[in-house]
Amino acid sequence: MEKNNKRISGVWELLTSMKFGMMLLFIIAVLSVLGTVIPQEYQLQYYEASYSKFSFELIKAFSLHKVFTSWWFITLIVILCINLLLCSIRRIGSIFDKIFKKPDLYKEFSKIKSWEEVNVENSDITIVFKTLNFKNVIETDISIDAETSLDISEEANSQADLVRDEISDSKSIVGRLYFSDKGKIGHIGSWLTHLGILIIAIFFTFGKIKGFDEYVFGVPGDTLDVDNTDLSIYIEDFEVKFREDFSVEQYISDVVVLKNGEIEDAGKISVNHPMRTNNVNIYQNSTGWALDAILYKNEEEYAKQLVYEGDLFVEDNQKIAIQFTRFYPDFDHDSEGMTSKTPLPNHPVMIYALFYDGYRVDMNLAHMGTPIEYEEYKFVFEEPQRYTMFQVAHDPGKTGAFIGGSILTLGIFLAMFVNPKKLFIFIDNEDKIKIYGKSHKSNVVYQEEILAALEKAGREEE
Amino acid sequence: MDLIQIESTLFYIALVLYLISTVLYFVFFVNKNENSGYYGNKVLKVAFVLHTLALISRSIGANRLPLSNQYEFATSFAWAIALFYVISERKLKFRALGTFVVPIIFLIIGYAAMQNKDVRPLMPALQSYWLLIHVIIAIFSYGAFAISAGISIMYLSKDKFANDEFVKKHIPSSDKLDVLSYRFVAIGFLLLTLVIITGAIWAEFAWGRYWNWDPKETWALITWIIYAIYLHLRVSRGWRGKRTAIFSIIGFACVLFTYVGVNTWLPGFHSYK
Repeated sequence: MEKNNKRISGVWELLTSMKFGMMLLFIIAVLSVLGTVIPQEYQLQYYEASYSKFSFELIKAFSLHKVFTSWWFITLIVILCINLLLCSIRRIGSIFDKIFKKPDLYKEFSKIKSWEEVNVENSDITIVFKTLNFKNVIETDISIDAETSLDISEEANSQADLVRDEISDSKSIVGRLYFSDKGKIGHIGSWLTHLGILIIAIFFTFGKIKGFDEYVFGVPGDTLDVDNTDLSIYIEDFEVKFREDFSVEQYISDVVVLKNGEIEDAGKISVNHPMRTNNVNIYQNSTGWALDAILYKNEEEYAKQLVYEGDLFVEDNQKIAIQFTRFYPDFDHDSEGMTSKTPLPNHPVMIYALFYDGYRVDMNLAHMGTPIEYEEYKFVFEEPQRYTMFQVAHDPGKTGAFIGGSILTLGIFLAMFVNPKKLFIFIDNEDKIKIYGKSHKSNVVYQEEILAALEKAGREEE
Repeated sequence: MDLIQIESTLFYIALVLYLISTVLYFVFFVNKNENSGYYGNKVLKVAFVLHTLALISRSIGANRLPLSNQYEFATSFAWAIALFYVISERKLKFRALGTFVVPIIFLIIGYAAMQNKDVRPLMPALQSYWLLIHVIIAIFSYGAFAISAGISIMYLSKDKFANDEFVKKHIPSSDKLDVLSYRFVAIGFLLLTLVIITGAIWAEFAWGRYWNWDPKETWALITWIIYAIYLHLRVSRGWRGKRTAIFSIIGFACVLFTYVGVNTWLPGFHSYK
């Protein structure tokens, strides 16, 4: 039983420790490298063909082809989230105390071990605090229990048992303490940073689980139903704007969004300018070419279809099929091979592969309108037109993730650039002035600042 | 002569001057020759001014800020390091830093010189204010990390120098170097966080996903984690000195890989291919 308790408490300690969180982050960073050097999200056959047998087995066994959605990666993220949550809960009390609780000056005074005696006048004390940008200086007598007979001026570094009573016998007063602190809000920086990471991780995961990504494509005049929604997109127009050098300036789709047949929204969608409507975002994703294909059988029109680049046009109980493999809008053939001189359909040529009874029987180029014949069949392709593809995305975690990102940034700013500092100046009964400064981050720099402030005070005195 | 040709001329003059400055700083440090340090600093400042003019010429000539391809990012990155260095030397007044930082500037601008300098119009995905914000913050973030790495190299090699007057005059105490390195990491880290966030916002607009585990994104995250661990160990665990200096150099190696390595070897949205 005791052994079990110890084990549970050990696990608890581990899960709530920042050290463990750091270890997890490090492991996540190292394992993420795998996801950048091994191509992700391909079919397993690709890895089988590209890697040695042993590597392929490793990839398959540990899902290294989808590192970021693998069970072990998600498990690590979940453990990290638990760690961040528990760590944040554990630390919040002490952080709030540091920020909002009135400092226990007697306790803090008793802990100071390295007073620095300085050669300044009593009147310089205010200047020192002011120079170091401290406001609200607390001034108080420090007294000790007379029975302890402790001489603070001589043994300031001892752990004095101080009486926490300002109204004390004048004999027990050992000196006067001036104290101020600043930048206490900086204490919450690392906590906010952890909270920000936690929020991002939670909302990112939530978005992945509850959200969706759909891709639809078509040519002007088409109405495209979007899966997972009751929306459809009517494409009014699609334009690719070219510059003089034929580089693409923008892809612009003019669309109407319909919900159950009723118009919900309308407008232009282009790259970097998605349409945000009905809890979905519609993005201009890509484009390609489509051709009107007509199949003749025994010289009679048998079937007609719009065929997209890469698609197969299969007919007559799969007896005949043609694949529209590639399209050259402005075909040219030079020493470097087949190319397109411009992206405009000035001299359109397609590459096709023809199948008959399941076997490839021909592969060639074809100009628009030129018949491609085999046995009793004849294909004619014409009217090249660009199609437009949309990504329709719904991510309910996005806003939360950006709030997390903002909290993270604020946390880092506070943690890095708001440095909690304390300054104690003590005048003992022999009028010796001692100083002690404590910075949450760099005492080296703070000591220099204190020295500079003391020098300034000395100069002003002169 | 058009503005892009002027930019090219200014760029190469700046490149040569950075090289001369590197040599002068080296002579200054190795031979303890004050004059070399003085002239190294002057040459660096001239190089920086010409470099700035080169970037302005390109911006006007290309009608956009030079932040959109490998060459433009590299030259802007080198410029940001030079800017941080000029400010640091003026403020901190320790010239020996140049011996460790100016070679980094030269290496980065040398890398830029090897890239294609053609001014190409922007593809649609790159036509975004978020891209500008994202990349501008990135050059300053990387610049701060470069200075931190330079200081850390100086920290690690400080023990090897005789503790003579020259060293006392030109190299701060180890504690101060340690703090300075930390401060630049802190600046770089905050900016890197903003780089990742603005990149995510841009990605959401352009590609419909704010995080896609693209190699560039993932390596930026890895770099962020490395520096986060550095800062955590420093602030919470009290790590100081040699260990944090090594961490800072490892962090900068990650920065360089995120920039050069990912774009060169790992395919993704940022490969510009």
